[in-house]
Amino acid sequence: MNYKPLKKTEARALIDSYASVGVTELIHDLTDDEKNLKKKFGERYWDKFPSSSSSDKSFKKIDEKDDLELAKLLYFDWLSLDGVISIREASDDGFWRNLTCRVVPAYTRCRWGHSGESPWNEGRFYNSPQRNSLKVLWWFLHLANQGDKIKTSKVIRNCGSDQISQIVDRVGKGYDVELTRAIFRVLGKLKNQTEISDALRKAMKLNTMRRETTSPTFFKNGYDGYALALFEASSK
Amino acid sequence: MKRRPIPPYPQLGDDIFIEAYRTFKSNDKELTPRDLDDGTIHLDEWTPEKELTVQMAFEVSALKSLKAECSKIIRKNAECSIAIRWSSKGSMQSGWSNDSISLFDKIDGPRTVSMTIGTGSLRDTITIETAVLISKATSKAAASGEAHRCNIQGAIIGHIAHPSVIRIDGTGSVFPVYPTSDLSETDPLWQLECGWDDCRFSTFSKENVRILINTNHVDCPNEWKEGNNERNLSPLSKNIIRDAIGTMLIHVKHNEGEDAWKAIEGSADLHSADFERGSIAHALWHFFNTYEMNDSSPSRLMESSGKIKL
Repeated sequence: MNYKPLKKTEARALIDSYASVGVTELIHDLTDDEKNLKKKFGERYWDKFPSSSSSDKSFKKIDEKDDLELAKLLYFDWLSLDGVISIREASDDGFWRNLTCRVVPAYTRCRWGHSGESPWNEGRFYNSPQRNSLKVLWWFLHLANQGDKIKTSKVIRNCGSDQISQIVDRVGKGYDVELTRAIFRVLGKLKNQTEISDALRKAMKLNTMRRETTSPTFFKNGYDGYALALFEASSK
Repeated sequence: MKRRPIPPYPQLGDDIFIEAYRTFKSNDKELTPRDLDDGTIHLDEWTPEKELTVQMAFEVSALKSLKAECSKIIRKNAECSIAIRWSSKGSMQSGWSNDSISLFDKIDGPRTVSMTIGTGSLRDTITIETAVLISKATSKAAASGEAHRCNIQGAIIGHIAHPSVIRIDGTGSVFPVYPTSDLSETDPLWQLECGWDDCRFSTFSKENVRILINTNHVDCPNEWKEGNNERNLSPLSKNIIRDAIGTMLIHVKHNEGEDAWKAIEGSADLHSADFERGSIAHALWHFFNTYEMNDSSPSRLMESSGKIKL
């Protein structure tokens, strides 16, 4: 994807400029790829985004229930690894800052701009890389990906924003993607969100310690055996 | 200072010496590593758009020697293997090689273990470690004197050699300085932009930290002025860089806390440090310890940063 990585200082200046002028976004010189992505967002959220791009008053909240559907669109279609972006780009914080602050700030404003003291939730725009509103959704799907949209939808069907944070927040020295995908296969068998939330929190905590001393590759039944053992051991 | 977790079972000692040959390849072409100032290595002929294969090779004698050492710390009938572990905070990924060398198979010739990372996957740095693990636990009861020995399948019982850190982005040494004409003559001569997220992992590169030199300032050193290709640093530029290093350190203390800085400062060596090679923390650790800087107060700190040799 042809894009302009945005530094944190540049992102901060952009958001400050929107806030000081009282607009949701300003007109930027976007690349064709960026314009195309912005159009897709506009079509999906036509009833949420401000009616005029220069107004910061008419936007409507995007509900968190939309997260999983948008995550699937981002990962499998709009920003797919199938020729649109690479993992190298997806791990570039500047790439995501550019999208949230310059290309589609209206999305993050509508999804995250209502809570807390600041109407501009800086962490979701640029200030906390692991909380960037679009990066979090894309990586959640990457870490859950079971090979196609149907299988992936099945394992994440009971996940909510808590589970998204629990998984994506724990990057450590880098996600072991094979392991997180095995963890999702276990999660997919659990019945409801309450059960998932509790089990996932305990299992991820145990994994933080266990991964320093143990490799899933030699575990009985490999990654799937390791993931299952995490849930079993942490539920005792 | 980072301490590896201490498991309740014996492990291979840090002093064990096993000869291993490390090779980097891309599309079957061997790559020549170049050592950088910060202890990382650079693969000049490789870019992240290409796949990267890391291979560790061992002679028969090294494998036999390692097997003998392992036999002293695992249970009888258990088995262990060598595998490669990689991690890259900047790329947000880590993992293990699918390949491994079993030390308990018949060893009748040199053996290799390798792993390949796909195209367009990496950024910043990648750390490669070679680990020894229990690949087969025994179901038999512990014999006399070995109840304390590890019998967990997949347990790491030691590491061979120091980790290799490959630098993918950034220079690994020179302080990023950017002359700019966007500032007015009344703006400061220089300012430090600190845009990193976690100094322990963010690279010491222009994306995360840089000195902006105001070329419109009356005192702007000549080497930064437009059209001047002279890049020998003037005494004033050297002092700006020294002050910027001191300011960076104050920024870390202020934003990430005294404890975080103490942990960085107190790292005994790069192997055990809780920061990545080539990171901002690594640069600060290097300057602080090499030039015996004094951080007891901001004034002492800035005074001692003046001793940094550039």
